[in-house]
Amino acid sequence: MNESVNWNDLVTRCAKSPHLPAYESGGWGLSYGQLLTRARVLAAALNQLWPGEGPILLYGHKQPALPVGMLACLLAGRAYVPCDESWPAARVEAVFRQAGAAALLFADEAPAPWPEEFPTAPLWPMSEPGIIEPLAAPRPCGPEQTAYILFSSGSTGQPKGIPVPRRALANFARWITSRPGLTLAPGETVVGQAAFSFDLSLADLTLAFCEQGRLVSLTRQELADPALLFQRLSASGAAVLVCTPTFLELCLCDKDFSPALMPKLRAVFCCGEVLPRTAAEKFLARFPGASLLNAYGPTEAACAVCAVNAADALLIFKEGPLPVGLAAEAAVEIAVLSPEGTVLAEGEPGELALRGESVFSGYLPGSGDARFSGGWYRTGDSGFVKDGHIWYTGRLDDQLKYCGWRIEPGEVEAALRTLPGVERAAVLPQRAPDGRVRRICAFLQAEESARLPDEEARRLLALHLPAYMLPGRFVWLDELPVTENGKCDRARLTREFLL
Amino acid sequence: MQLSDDVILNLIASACGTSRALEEDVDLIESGLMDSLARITLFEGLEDLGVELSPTRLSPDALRSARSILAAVHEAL
Repeated sequence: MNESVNWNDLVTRCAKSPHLPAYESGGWGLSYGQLLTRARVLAAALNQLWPGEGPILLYGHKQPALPVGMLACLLAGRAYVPCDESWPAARVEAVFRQAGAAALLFADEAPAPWPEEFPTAPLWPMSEPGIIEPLAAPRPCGPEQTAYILFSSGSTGQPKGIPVPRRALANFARWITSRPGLTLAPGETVVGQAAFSFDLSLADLTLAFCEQGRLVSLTRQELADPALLFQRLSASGAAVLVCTPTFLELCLCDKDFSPALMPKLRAVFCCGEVLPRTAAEKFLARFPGASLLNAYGPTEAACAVCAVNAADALLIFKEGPLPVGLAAEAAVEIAVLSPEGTVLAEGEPGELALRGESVFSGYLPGSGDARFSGGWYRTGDSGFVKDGHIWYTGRLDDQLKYCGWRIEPGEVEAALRTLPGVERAAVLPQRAPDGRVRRICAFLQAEESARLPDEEARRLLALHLPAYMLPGRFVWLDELPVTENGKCDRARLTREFLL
Repeated sequence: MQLSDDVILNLIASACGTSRALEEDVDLIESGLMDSLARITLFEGLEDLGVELSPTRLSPDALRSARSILAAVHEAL
C-alpha cells in the first residue's frame, strides 16, 4: 500500500508557500518556510546525534518548537512521542523507558528530576538554520513504520503505549481532509484546543498542515481564563474549530460565544467524548450557518474513524443520544461484535469493532495485548448500528472517559496505594444524570490516624499522575467493602456514596 | 427577583458533587471540585434560575469559593 500523504509532496507544497503562516500559539508563530526549514535541520541533527530508529520524546506544551519536532521526526523516519510539560517527571521517565526512546527534546525546560543517563537537548536551538546541513529529502519509510506513539492511562498501573503506524496517519489525513466544511484554503485558520499528548490534536494539525492552513493552538493559560480565551478565539479569525464537547459546552455557557465573536466559523469538529444532544442544539441555534461534526474513534485507530453532521442527525433522530458517525463514510469498516466475535445485525447492541488502514497493530511491549478477533480490532466500546448510523453507548470495561481523557481506574488506584497509610484503594466515577463522568472519586482504606488531608493527597498523587487523572473527591474508610469473592464491592460503594 | 442563597448554595454543591464545596476553607479550583463539568452545571443551572452570569466577565477568582460565587450572583441580579 502507498501512503496517501506523501511527505515529499507535503514538503514541496510547504516550500511553494513559505510566506503563509503555519502555526501560532502563546504569541509565537511560524511560517511554512520556517517550519519546513527548521524541521529539515532538526531531522538531519536527529540522525547525526542519535542514529537509528529510536523514538524521540517531544516535551513541552504548545510552543512552536513542538510542531517543528513532529515534522522533523516524520521526515527523519522517527516516531515522535508527545509528552506534555504538565506531566510529572516520573511519568515522563516511565514513558521514555517504555517507548525505548533515543532522546528527549524539550521546548523550554527538561523535566526535573531527570536521570542523567537519558539524553536530552533543547528543541529550538537544535533546529536553528545554519547549525547543520538540512535533510535533503524525507527518509523513505514503510507504511507499517510507527509515525507517533501516544500514551494513555493503563490498567496495569503504568501508562499504556499506543504506537500508530504511518499508514494509519495517512488514512486519517485522507479521511478528515475530505469531510465537508473542514477542508481549509491556504491561509485559512483552524483553532485547536487539545494538547499534543491528546490525539484530538492530530485533527487540527492535519487539517492545517495538509492544506497549508494556519493552526492557532490554544494554550493552558488561555483555556483557564474565559476572557483571554474569547479574545484569542475572536482574534484567530478561525474557519474551523477542533475541540471536545466539554470545551464547546463551556464556550456555550457564555452568550458572547456567537457569530459576532467568530464570524468566519463554518465548522466545528467535536471528538473525544459524548456530545450531548442539548449542546448540539444550542450550538446550531447560536451558529445557524455552521456545521457541527460529532466524531468517534479510539487512539488505537488514529484519532477518529467516523463522524456525523449533528444537524442532519437531529433531524433524522428526533430524540435520544446523537449517533457518532455514518458507517458508509467512515475511515475504516465498523461492525458490532458479539462477545464470541460474531458480526451482529443492525440494531443489535454489542462491541464496536474496527478494521482497516487506520487501525494500529498492537500496544508497545509491556502495555498489554490489543484485542483482535477475525481481523477486527475490538475497541471495548459498546454500541450499535442503526439506519447506517453508529451509536456509542459506553464502555464494556472499567475505563472512564473524563472530559475527553481516557482514565483506567487501575492506574489511579496504583498511585493511591503509594500514599502513606493507605492499605487499599478503589476508584469509581461519579456520573451526571446523562451518564457522563462528572468526577473521579477515590475510596481509601486507612487507619483514622494515618489519613491525609485531601489537598496533601492530591499533591502527592500529582508526583505520579497528570492533573486530569487526579481524583476530585476522596472518601476515607476504615475498611473497603468486599464481595463474597473478596473483591472490592464497587456496586456498594456506588450505591452508598455516588448516587 | 427573589432567589435565596440556599438555592444557589445547593446548586454549587450539586455542581461540585459534594457539600464540601460549601466549606469556608475549600479552594474549589485548587481542590479540583470546580472542574469543567462543574462549571457547565453551575452556569446552566444559574441560567435555568434566570441568572445570567457570563464566564468571560467574571474575575478569575470568582469561582474559587462558594462565597465568591454567591457574591457574583448577587451582583448579576
